[in-house]
Amino acid sequence: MKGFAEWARVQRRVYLGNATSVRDFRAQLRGNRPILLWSIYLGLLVLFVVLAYSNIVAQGQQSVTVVQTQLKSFYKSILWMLEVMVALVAPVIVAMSIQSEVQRKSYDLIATSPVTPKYYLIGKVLSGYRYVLMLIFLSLPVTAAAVVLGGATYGEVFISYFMIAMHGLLYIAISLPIAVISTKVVPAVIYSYTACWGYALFASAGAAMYMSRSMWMGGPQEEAPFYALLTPAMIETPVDAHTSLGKLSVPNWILATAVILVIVRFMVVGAGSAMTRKGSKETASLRIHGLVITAVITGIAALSQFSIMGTFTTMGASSSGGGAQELCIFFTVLSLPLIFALPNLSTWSYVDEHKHRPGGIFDVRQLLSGAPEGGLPYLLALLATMFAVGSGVLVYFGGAIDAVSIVYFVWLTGCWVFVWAIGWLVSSFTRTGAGTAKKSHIASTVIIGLLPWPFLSIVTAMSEADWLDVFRIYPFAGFLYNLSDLDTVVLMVFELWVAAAALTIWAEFRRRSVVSLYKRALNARQ
Amino acid sequence: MLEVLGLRRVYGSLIAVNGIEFALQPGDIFGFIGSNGAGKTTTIRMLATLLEPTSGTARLNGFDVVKEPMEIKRRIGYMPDFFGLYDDVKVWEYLDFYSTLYEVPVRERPSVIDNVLELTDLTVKKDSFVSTLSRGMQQRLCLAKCLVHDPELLLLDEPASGLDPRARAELKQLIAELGRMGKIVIVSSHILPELADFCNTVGIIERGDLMAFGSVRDVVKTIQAAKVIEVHVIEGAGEGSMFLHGKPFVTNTHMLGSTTFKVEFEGTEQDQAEMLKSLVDAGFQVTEFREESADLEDVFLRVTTGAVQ
Repeated sequence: MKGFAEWARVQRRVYLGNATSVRDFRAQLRGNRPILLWSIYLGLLVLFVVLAYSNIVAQGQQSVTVVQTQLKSFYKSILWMLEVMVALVAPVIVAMSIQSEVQRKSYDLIATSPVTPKYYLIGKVLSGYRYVLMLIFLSLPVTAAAVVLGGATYGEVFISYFMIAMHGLLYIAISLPIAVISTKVVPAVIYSYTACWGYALFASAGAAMYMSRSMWMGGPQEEAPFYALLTPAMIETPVDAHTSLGKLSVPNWILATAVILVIVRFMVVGAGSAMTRKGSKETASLRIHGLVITAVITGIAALSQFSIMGTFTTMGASSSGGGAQELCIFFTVLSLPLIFALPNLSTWSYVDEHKHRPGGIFDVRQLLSGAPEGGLPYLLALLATMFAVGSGVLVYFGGAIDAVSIVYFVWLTGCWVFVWAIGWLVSSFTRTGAGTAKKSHIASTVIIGLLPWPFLSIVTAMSEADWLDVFRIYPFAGFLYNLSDLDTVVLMVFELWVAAAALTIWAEFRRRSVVSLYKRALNARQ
Repeated sequence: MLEVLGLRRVYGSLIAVNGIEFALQPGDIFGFIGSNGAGKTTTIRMLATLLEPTSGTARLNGFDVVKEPMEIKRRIGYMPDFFGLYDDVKVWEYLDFYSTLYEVPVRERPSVIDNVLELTDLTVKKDSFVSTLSRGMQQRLCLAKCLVHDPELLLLDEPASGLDPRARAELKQLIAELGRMGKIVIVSSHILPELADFCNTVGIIERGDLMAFGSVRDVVKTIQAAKVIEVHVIEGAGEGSMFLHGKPFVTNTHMLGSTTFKVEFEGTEQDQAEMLKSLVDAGFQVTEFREESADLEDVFLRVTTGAVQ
């Protein structure tokens, strides 16, 4: 009971009486500037409505159906405009707020006061989100016009507005860790925009592709699935759209909100981890969240895929590859977000804080501490979780994991270990801290990943050699091959693991020489 | 009580702070002296929990800087060398913000804010915007912010930098007052005369090593093995100098003019009195007999080489 009371007190302090949020609120709404900005915004909205309405009226007498269609598109265009406004404002507001505090050096004063990273970050989220909500609420009179004129129902407006508000929260959450790890305001804003708009574009395209693929494979066609609501592509959604979870029918907007809140929590924990030292509870929490979210997302994706697609449940060593290839694509796509996690798992530095200093290359005890030697174990744990959950769901639906799929997963693991080894190696060449090592890792991975491609394409175009034989030397060739042939996959696995092992040995040799170099220098100083 | 135990901070092959150790009692005002880049700010930032020590630690009334940073944060007030205030809030709002962060009870906040404003002489500026304050007032506001939670340790990094002489004098008085209130105050500066005025303890840091630590008097004594006594006579300074040369405890003598000479002396105060008596007995008409005291600047220059890392 006492523990609960303390928990409640802390939550009240973080969410209700947050000093950071109160301070930002005072500054945000002070003076003439906010009134001017909001007036311009409202003026633009009203102008848009007047123009749209005049356009409809100017067409003279029309059938009810045509007018109804025009009003619908009028309503849609308001929603799109709002979504764009939110996507423009939300990413920048937190990034600027946090980074300007760091640049102004007022953050040091907060960092020495007894507040947790969560307190500070939630304060920033609240103050930023309040701005986004004001933006949304101010447009309500305009949307009400669409309802009165017959373009939409109040229920549709409520759901759409709610989802736009949730997207705003999502954009703020995405920009949060970026703002924390950036070192200047402008890069923080640019990276935040890149991440949020990148997410919006790729997630929308991904959801659309997934939906069309699902329909093609025999899935439901009457309404969009809940994950489409996570993207700006499906702002206008039917109020009664739902997803069946066993016998339970859950409205899509509730499922989408739950997923967004999980992502927000993950981002807040991630940003908090970036602000803390080695072994902090924020870092442990981030790592546990990572494993749980991997399991949940794999589970949901597998459930929706394997239950819908009949071909998956009859998977075997078919001559065409078929099911095995689908399963391999499934795991490959699911593992792609690792590209964002790997720079943090694979890089190290001896000129930074303890959390960046490796005490070795592989230590399972450091799985949750954030130490560099826990990076590889954590990467393997993520991949093992993905494989275990994905395979479990597949087996549950009566499918089977064949040899090609298993060997392919070994290749996929080798692929990520190879990328990890690149990070471990470039860190040994970096003398200016973990931040530089991370950037170098990203650049090196892109170079190694993309550069051989045009070169090898030229070779295949200019010679009689088989495309497959030439590309076999490419470490990421598994993404391009038809995986039906077990011998080819085994060969690829062998090649990649040899390359990964060689890189790892070289990287570790370099790390040890760097350590001894520093030790000698320090001993000489003593 | 603050105990600094082998505090060390390494960046790659660079040792910024090399295992320094010292202890301070409540009421101590500790002047932390060093050249730019000597390791003062790094040490203070480690004590403020902003930087993680590579090894070693510090304890404030039993709480460990490394293991219990949150407990330390509740007990310290930190004023960095460069800091940004929120320009767009009023003075009382600024202090209210920090009172909330330090969990000062809501009912007590108005009186706490009034008290710290009075202590820092900013009461008249309570409703002014922070942006309208002068540099000295902003400095005092930052100090006021450090005091809202009644800390046990104050870490002031170059608090007087950029202040005019009057603002500097007012700040010195304020810091002295804080020492009298029983707080441990650590003040870093390279403006040495201002530290000697109100610090009862000093430490000299050079390239990360604590070269000297103790009371101002002890530190001066440590580096000045021999006293230097300046003697003024009506006439015959040369003879006087020759007279004392070779006498017990006299290590050297220097002529400064026809009526003045210096004696380097290693004896006690009793021996010093005996030497004066022997001069007078020998017929020298002594008009002034004064021990030259070295100041912090002399000590600093003697102890350090001025090298930065």
